[in-house]
Amino acid sequence: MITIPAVTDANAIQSPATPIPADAIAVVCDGSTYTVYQVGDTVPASS
Amino acid sequence: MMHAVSNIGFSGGGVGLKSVGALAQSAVPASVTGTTIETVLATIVIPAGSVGSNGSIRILSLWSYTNSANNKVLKGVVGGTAFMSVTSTSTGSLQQETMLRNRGEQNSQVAFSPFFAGGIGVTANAVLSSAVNFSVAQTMTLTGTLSNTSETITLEGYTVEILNP
Repeated sequence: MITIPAVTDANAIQSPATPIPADAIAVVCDGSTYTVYQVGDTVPASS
Repeated sequence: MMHAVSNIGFSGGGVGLKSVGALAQSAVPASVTGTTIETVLATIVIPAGSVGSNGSIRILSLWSYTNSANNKVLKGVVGGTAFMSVTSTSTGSLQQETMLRNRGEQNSQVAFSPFFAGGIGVTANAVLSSAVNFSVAQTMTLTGTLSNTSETITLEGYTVEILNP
């Protein structure tokens, strides 16, 4: 699991500061950070 | 030994037909929660010139979200044009299809109303006319916007295809 900072552009749209890695199996953004779950990680239960 | 020989072009869809090209596809869930800021859940680059003057882009996206009366805005944008902008309430999931068709040149398109959930049907809304220049590379984003920070929007998956005649 890794975290990537969320950045907000001039149009008030937030996106990951760096690309999501190709081995991601789930991604969750909480408003400040994109948490990237990778192969082997336990993915949080969906809502 | 016999060999089948043909001089007729064959490229996937049948004799004389061109196959659809899958540009991008994912079923890795991408979620947003805890913020009301519009949040990018997928980014796809459309290579320069990949959509011909009579070509199309087909976008299929699958979403899930908290089933509540609060607004959840599910949006798709390419080259500054929102080809999808659906506000969902009191439902739990949505699959949206958009066909963005070039009109004889690479910088003129038509599509169904971006506000119509599902993307296929009948509406009083006008069609979408746009002027995205596909002779140069364009970036497509799929975003989710919450109105209640305790809720969640998940982009469950998407497929982006390019169709050139």
